[in-house]
Amino acid sequence: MLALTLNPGFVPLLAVFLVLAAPRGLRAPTMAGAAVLALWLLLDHEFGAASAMAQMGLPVVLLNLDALNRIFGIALLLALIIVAIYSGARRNRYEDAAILTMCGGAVSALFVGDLISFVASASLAGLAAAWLVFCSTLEDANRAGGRLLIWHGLEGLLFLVGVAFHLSSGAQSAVLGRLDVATIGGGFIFAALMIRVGAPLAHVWLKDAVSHASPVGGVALTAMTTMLGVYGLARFFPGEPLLLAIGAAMIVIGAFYAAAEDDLRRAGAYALMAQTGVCVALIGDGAPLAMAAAEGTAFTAIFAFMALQATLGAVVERVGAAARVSALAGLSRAMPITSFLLIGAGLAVSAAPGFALYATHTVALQATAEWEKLWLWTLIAALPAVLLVSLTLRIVLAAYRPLARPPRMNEAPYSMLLGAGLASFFCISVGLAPRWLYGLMPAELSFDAFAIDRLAPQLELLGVAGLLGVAFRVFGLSPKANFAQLLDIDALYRGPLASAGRWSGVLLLRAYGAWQELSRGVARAIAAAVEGWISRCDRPYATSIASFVQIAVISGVLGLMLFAR
Amino acid sequence: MSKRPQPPSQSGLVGVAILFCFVAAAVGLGFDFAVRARGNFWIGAEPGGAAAIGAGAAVFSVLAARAALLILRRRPPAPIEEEGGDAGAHS
Amino acid sequence: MSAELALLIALGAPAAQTLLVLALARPPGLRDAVHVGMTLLTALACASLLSAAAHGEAVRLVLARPLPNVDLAFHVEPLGALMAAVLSGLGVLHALHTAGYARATHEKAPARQMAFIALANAATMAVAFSANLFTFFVAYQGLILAVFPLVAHRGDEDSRKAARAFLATLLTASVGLLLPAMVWTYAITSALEFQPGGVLAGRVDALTANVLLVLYVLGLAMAAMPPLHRWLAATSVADSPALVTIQALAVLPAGAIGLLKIAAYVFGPALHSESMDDATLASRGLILLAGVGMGGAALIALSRQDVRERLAYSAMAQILAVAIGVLLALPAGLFAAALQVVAFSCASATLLMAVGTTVAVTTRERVADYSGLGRIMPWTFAGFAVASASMIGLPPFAGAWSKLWLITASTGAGLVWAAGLVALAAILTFAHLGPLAVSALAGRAPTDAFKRPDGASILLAAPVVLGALATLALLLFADPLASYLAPMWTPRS
Repeated sequence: MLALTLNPGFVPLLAVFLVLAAPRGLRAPTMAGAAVLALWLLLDHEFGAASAMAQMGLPVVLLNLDALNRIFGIALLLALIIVAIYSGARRNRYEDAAILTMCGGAVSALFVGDLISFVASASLAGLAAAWLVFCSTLEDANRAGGRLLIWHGLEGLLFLVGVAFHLSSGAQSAVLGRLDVATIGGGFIFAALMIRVGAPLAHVWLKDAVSHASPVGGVALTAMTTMLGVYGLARFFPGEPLLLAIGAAMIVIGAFYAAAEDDLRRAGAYALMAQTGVCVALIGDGAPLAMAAAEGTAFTAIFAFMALQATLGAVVERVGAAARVSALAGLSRAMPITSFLLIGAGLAVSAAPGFALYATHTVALQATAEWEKLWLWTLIAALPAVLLVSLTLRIVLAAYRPLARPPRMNEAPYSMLLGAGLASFFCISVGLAPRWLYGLMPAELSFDAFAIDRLAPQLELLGVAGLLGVAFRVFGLSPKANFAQLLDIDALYRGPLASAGRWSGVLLLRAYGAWQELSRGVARAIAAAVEGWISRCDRPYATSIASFVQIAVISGVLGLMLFAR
Repeated sequence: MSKRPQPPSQSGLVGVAILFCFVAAAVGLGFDFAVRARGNFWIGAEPGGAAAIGAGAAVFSVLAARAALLILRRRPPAPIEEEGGDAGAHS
Repeated sequence: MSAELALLIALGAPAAQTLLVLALARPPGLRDAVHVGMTLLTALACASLLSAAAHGEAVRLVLARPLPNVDLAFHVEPLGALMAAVLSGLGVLHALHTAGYARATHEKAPARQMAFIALANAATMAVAFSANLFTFFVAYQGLILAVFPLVAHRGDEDSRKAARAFLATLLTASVGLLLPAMVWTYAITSALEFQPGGVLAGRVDALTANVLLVLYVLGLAMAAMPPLHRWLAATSVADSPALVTIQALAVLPAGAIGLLKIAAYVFGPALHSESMDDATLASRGLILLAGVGMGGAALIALSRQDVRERLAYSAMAQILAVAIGVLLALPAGLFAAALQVVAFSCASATLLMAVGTTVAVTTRERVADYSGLGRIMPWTFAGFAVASASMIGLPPFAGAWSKLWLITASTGAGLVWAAGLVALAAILTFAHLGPLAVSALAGRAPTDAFKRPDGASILLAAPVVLGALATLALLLFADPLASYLAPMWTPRS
């Protein structure tokens, strides 16, 4: 047991103790150092599985490295470095610890080779995410943290039951292979992964958590939570046809809400949901190029959305409350660098050529085109345009709208600008030289992202969409930004569903109370009868039938004992 | 930025945005029609197909925003309601 | 120290502790020091016995020989040693907590309370180390009698009614059901020894096996099998130190140990075998009863507004999980049950100590009053949260793995409905413990909570934190536990 191959995810987990004890100035370097060390461990290893240990009679494989989890691991660890730099200005050590635990749990889950360890690490990451939201100082963060805890607790229990059923059907849990949704175990694990990835009906936790977390928390949650679910789906359910429909639904719902939401971090979370839906649908496709496209899209989406959430977080930090489109006017005067970064982040999210998301977007289009999936191709092609109009243009036009008296705000803290800028810079550098990313992807790819027959349509798409978007805004066809809160399915969960639960609980209580009354009444009646009979038997010298019965019974028993053999 | 209190242009970045989008659209459409450099999958194989998708996406965004604000707008909750409506708030 | 000496100390130290605490009741510091010190000694002795059991040393201590082949004997074997080590280790934390609690609440007769806690510990050690059914029975009765004054300690009407219910139920069940079963077993096998592989295998027909199983399981009323479960909720009026003993460290674990020993060492394959001469019918029926009881207890806990009552019903659900694991008659089930007992003791002790700290410091007892307390008592409620997560069975905490194995073993035995009942009970436990922990940590901090000006003393808070750490540490020990307990289901030839 001492020959422990170190799973890269353990490094951030161990760093939690350091961070809890470190002085304020050293915390960001500790986090970044842990990420760098973990990256070095990751890149230092050959592909293959470490030797299995025995745990409770089952083989436990702590490290299993292949092309699929390597790309996710690199993404999460680089994200941790960016988060560490971004977080330099805060003083909350518990939040740092929560981020490290979440990242460590997620990265460990990426690299373990057996189901039980996967479930343990994924649940740890989920609980750490709830802790992260609890640490936030924004209004109503506690309730949001509680809700996130309920979602992740439910997910953990579903994982547990799924693994138990999977084990009992005779499978070896060391083999992290494809599961079957139709089996009970596979079905439960699929349901748990649906919660983690943010499938429709379970998508509300991400937007709830991101909008209530602190700026740094929002960035960390964006990068490290749903993408673990994408990895899980890629590992356990590649080519599952259900995922096509689920991914498409995620794209549509995410785009729909992103267009309408006023709270920008929440809109960003919905947009992430749409982009995750692209990944999920591609996994559902299952062909090698589609899987490669899914993983690449996950990688680039992490950084594009981190850039967006980071710059929005800087606004949140200075405003002190949620960043709302309706309240964004004049930002360019008050926070010029942040506004400039907003342009870059918005373009990154919209898969503009030259940014990272474009490189994988073209691969995704190629993959769906090869398999003739008409509507999926259309959805994937249209998504960047929707995000351009509904997210980028809305934000940028609002931020640069001049106000007579610009709001009195300082520019964002330096570390936040640095972190946000780094994320955008990373998007640009991967976007301009995507060959590095293509080399990481599992499939053999010789792909030219900037071939003119790919570049021209994208430019055309974004250009026309942008023109129309600006035109709609100028002519007043698109709705004016106003302070509106939108209902989503969680209004159903929190309102009618919770009331129904409470009502059925009250009913059950009444039934139980009636049952208790009944049994107590019966017991009392029996006890009274027995007492009456006993008191009658208590006078053996009185001539009553009871005393005769008594004497007869005693004689009979005596006779039996003496004479029966 | 100027310090003199002249009325600022109300358009902000609109002009710049229009310029960039126009250039992108022009370049894309130009290559599309001239060099026949287009994708080769259903609508992408038509000239200007991607432009149609982009236009459709923009229209979808606006319609979605309008529809969401119309249908899904949350009425400002009464304070008592807000307290009791949360499943996670109490046992 | 030699194994015999360690066994003697493990059994005798708590008994001596009873007398010493009563004798040295003044000054309070001396009394507390004696209480904690002797508990520590017991824990050290049990720890050394752990390694003795791992090496398979045969250690046997005979105190009396009332009947041929029946002696009042104690021996060291893996299950008993493990349970004794865990319970005595947690007992040290409990002793610290009791000392703090007595000071914080200005307890009127702390020495008496501590003495009976020590007596209960002695009886629990005897139960864990018992070598045969007779010793087990004597120790079991001793435990009932030792805990009875603890329940009635407060002296008011509720406590006395609860104590009467406790005594009546447990004594009647043990004398009316367990004793006849014991006598019957002696009649069949003319010995009462505990043997891995069971003594009844091959010697009983189906009817006898079924009836015996029912008598044993219902006779062990300490395992809170419905319909003999009312005493558990009734005793929740007791003080926190007593409650910890009753629920987490003595009574419920003793019932669980009894179930484990009887299933593994008395019945063995007679629970379920290829031939028809087994107790399959009764065991399936009892599993159904336990499963329904689990779900019902977790559901009722949801409706209880007094925190201690809620935890009592929650503990009942957890112990019934042990019953299910034991009755499944598979090694995986036995392992799940043993792991569940260990995880349950740690988690339940931590929870009850946290509640005791809260009551001592803020006198708040209702669930609705717990909102926001976690913000002014962060360590206590962090421990509360960790222990709740383990009770619920959330991965990656220890309670999750015992439930995992329970579900796996149930489906392996072909009882998918039992697995479903366990999963349902886990969800219901989540419903009644989760929001409590979350609202305590997340609510608005109350401004006037503390009744003492200095909050909770270290004696009240540290045991909670250490208990939570123990719960966390179980993660690492699950596999060594499995190999340690393997002799339990391997019959000695």
